Amino acid sequence: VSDPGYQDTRNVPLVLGLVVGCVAYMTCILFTPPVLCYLPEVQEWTFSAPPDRIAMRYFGMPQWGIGGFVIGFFLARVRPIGEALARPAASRLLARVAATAVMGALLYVLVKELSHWGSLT
Amino acid sequence: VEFGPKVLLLLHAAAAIVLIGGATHNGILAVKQLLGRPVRRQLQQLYAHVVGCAYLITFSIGLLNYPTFRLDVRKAYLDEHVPLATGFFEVKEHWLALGLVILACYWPMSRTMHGGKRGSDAWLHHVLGIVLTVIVWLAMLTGLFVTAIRPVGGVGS
Repeated sequence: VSDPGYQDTRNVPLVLGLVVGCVAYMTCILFTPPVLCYLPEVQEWTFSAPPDRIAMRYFGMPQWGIGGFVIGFFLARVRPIGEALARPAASRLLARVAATAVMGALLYVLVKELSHWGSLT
Repeated sequence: VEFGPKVLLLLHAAAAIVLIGGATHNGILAVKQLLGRPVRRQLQQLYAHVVGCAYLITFSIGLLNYPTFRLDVRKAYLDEHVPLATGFFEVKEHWLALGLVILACYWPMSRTMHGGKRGSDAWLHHVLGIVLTVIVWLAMLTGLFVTAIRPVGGVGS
């Protein structure tokens, strides 16, 4: 556990959860699946917002990210998967995939939103 | 002037002050550790707890005030007159939501960290600490920027 490059086995589910959570959140942005929305004008909750209404997806989108995290976490608790990911080479790769997933998701929304709203300025 | 949204805004700001302080100290410790310098384990874990608790409180209060902001500030003014501010606010919301996922990994992982720990999880832990600091700073600056333009519950909202 203390070898350089080796991951504490307790952290493997957390790291896989982070990867799946980021992927789930990006899925939510890229493919617009059903998300819990709040319609502030009529004060209603819905999964299918009418296009002419203001729909606040920020209540539902974090649920996708956290839901993905929980799935990834429990996936890594399955013994064969957890053991495979805890090997030194796999754990190093998993940490780098997680960092890439986080950076990729953050940069994607930064560029997407600023290019969209910036073009309206 | 509406007092409900104003009170929530002040509580949101108060929680954000704690968050920015904790996240900044936490980020400095993370940079030190990435550079191989020793840090006190108790200090690292304290800041991880401060960031975790303050993040959840700030995020929750922000969500409570969001419907008012969406109608009275964004729809009524920002989208039409300052769309770039809306753009930054959208980035802030996405980054904070992703920050929740990062926090779900980072916070419990902090319990396994100690000053000299090396390894891929320690490296990731420190990187995530810096990322959280950047997210919190962007969120705070964007919040101040938008509030300076048109606060929730203000005159004209």
